[in-house]
Amino acid sequence: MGERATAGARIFVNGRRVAVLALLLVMPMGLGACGPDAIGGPATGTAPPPSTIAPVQSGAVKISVRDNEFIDDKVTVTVGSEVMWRNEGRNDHDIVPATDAPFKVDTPDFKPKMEYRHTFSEPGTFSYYCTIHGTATKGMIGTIQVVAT
Amino acid sequence: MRRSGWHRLVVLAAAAALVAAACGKSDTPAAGPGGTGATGTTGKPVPSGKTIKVPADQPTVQKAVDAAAPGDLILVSPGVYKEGVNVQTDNLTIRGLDRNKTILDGEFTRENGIRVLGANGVAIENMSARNFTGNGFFWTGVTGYRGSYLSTSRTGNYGIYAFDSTKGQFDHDYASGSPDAGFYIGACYPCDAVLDQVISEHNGLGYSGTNSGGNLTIVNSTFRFNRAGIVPNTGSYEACYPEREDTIVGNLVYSNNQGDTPAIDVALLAMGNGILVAGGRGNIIERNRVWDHERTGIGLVPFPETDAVDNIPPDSAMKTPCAGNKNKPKVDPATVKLPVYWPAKDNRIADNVIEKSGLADTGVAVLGDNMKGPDLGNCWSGNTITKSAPESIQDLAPCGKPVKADGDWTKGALDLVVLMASQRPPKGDYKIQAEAPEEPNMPDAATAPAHAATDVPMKVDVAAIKLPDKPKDG
Repeated sequence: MGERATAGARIFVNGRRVAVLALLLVMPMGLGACGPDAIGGPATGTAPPPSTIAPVQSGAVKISVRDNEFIDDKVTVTVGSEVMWRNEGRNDHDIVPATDAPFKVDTPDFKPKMEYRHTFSEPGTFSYYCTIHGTATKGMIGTIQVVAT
Repeated sequence: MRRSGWHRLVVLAAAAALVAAACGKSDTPAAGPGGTGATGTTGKPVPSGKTIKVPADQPTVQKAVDAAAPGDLILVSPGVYKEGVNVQTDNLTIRGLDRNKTILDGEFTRENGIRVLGANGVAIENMSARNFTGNGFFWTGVTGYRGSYLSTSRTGNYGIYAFDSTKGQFDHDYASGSPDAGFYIGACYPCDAVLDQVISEHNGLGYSGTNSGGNLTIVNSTFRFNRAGIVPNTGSYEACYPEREDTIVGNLVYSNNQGDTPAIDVALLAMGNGILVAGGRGNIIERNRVWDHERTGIGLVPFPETDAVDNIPPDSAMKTPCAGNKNKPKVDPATVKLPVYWPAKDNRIADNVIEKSGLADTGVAVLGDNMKGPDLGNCWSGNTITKSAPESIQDLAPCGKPVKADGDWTKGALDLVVLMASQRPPKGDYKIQAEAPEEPNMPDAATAPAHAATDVPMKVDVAAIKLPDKPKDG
């Protein structure tokens, strides 16, 4: 069955006119699925890689914790990377994940000049924040995206 | 005294901590040290909503905040409220009916008395906060904030604090017993903020302002009995560097040598100075009465950073608003030439009365091979002083005139080593500091309508502010 979505065109599938939006919802839109032979043929192959929130880094990755922000606040690392947060500010901070996640450091262990490290062994996206200067959705927050190597 | 390389390193390390980490308006201002010049604004008010009474309508301040909508007034009856409050609703007015008897108590287990996070236009009035491990009243990431007739004591970080926020006002407030600063405004340019008729005492620093400035006015206020009085400062550990363009006029700054206050390391280093600009620029410091300081009355010093994360931006970048700098790419550490010496430059010190200072009533210090006193652009005129460092500073660099050709900037120069490397009394415990004394209530607390922080900061006629008189007990 033919599958093609073109903005503004009338599309007919099996003799029935379908909405462009409906087609877009069922069509894979990544580069991996839309090669030159994809037009007019069935969808095949693997799903495209997820988009990344930041350039991908591997190995030892540092996040500077200053007053009152994480730099960089969006980081993408590969599985197995060790992220090190260093408190380079003059204030106390902490690092608390917004949802259940295996990393956390409390204020007494994260005073100025202190470091906290965690190795991410599973892919996923983890938001975190400083409870003193932010909440899970506002203020001093950061995100770590872990992607497969 | 021969200065070894080791000794310089100690000084640099010590100096690197120099800086820290800083409505109820009445149309007829109460008499403050300067007396005149501060009036209210006539900005468009936010339509009033409903009034929520605590505990009559809601049992706690937090529950009242959670139930409130923008424009509402939360009226808190006298009592001790053992809670820390988070506010994320715009344009609230949170007011105590009695400033001295409406008390938020953190019991040394809670972080902030009231924290306003990303909510614009929140005004907090006429109440007290004590015994918090962080701050008494704290705004962060907002446009529009006001703290009026507030008292804080025994807080582990700052008393009254605005960070990464613009368009704000602290008036008729009292803050004591904080290791860092009683009042702090940081990481904003232009800040568009006013401190008017506040009292700050028995803190590490009376006022601290890291990387803040731009229409930031500190007037008609009293800073006394702290380790150091007013300390605008620069450091790349916070956004918006450097500190610049404060207007500090008509204040009483005295006896900031207090060795029993709580204190962060920076406050220990800055101890014994009245007004100390550390690596800041373009500040106007005029008509202040400053006396009784073991080191300087008004001092300008560089701020050295051995772990700076950026080089000093060019002069052409100094007018760029903070928001314009926030998204710039992370600086490659390899490109930063350490140590970075943030200079105190282009500051104007004029018409102050400064006396009874241990090292110098006013002075400037330099650091490194490339920083020279005559090149910094600071100026002094009309000050009533006995001793300056270097000597005859008002002849060397008068305001409105060229720097004296071939002037001797070495005679009596301010010795940064002596200034900062001396032994200091150890830090006091903030938990055992005195409670705030009784302070005046705001007018008409029970009947005044809601007054969100949308018409801030108040207009200040700086030119009309006179040199204040000494208090009777000063």
